Amino acid sequence: MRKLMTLAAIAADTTLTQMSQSMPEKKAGENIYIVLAVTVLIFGGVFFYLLYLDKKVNRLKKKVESREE
Amino acid sequence: MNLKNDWWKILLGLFLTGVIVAAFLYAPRAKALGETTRILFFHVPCAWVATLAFLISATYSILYLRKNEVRYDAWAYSSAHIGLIFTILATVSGAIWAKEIWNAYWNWDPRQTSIFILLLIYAAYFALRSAVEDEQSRARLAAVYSIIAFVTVPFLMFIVPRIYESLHPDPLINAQGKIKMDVKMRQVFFASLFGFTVMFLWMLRLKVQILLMERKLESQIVTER
Repeated sequence: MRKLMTLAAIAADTTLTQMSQSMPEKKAGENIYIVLAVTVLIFGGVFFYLLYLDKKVNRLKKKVESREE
Repeated sequence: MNLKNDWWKILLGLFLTGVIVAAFLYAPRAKALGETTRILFFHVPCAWVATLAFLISATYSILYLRKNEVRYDAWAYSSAHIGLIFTILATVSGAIWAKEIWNAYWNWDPRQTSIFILLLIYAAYFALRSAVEDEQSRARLAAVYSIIAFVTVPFLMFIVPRIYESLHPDPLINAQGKIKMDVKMRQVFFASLFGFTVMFLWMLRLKVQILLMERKLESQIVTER
């Protein structure tokens, strides 16, 4: 019985070792989506700022037009 | 869009598109940083533009105090405004990177602490402006504050990260004064820096024009009354 248990333990240990070796290891810094998120954030930020400026220009144009009328 | 006048805007758009493509496909990865190396091409130019914007703001503030012309105040205010936006972008993009590498968005690293203090200093600039009603006093007070605020910029952006132990990757120009960067990475990096600078100057000009037009309209309305 003891021999059987030892064999089972060895088998379990070997399986776990093999599993951990075959599983891809998650390394820090390998996530390309993080890079994508930063790119979207920065260019999105710039885009919304330009939209804000565009809105202001349009409001000024309307003001000038209404004054001319 | 007038092609004769706006050709450079289209060129800038194409240039920045090229920079994004090159950042993902041309530039190699640094060993320790993996794929997140590519964040450098967008995160550092944001910090650079913020520094440049605060420098321009301080310069126009000095000009305002010397010549007392409203247009200088408009330049100083607009530059600080865009500088603050780019500081926020640099802070948030840095925090996203930190989550991947340090496993936490925020851990009060000297870099993070110094940029946070800078954010507070320039947020106070806008709080000060909005607290004063009289245009002349507001411009004068803001000019003095902008000059004092800029004194802290070299300390917070360049000195603090170099004298304290930090987890942040080596700054581009490190303590030895040398640029340790792969040639391809350097090409993309400086191209990005150039693109961001031109984009900033375009945004600044737009913002100043809007502000001056608004002021002109307001003064016309007041004189008509």
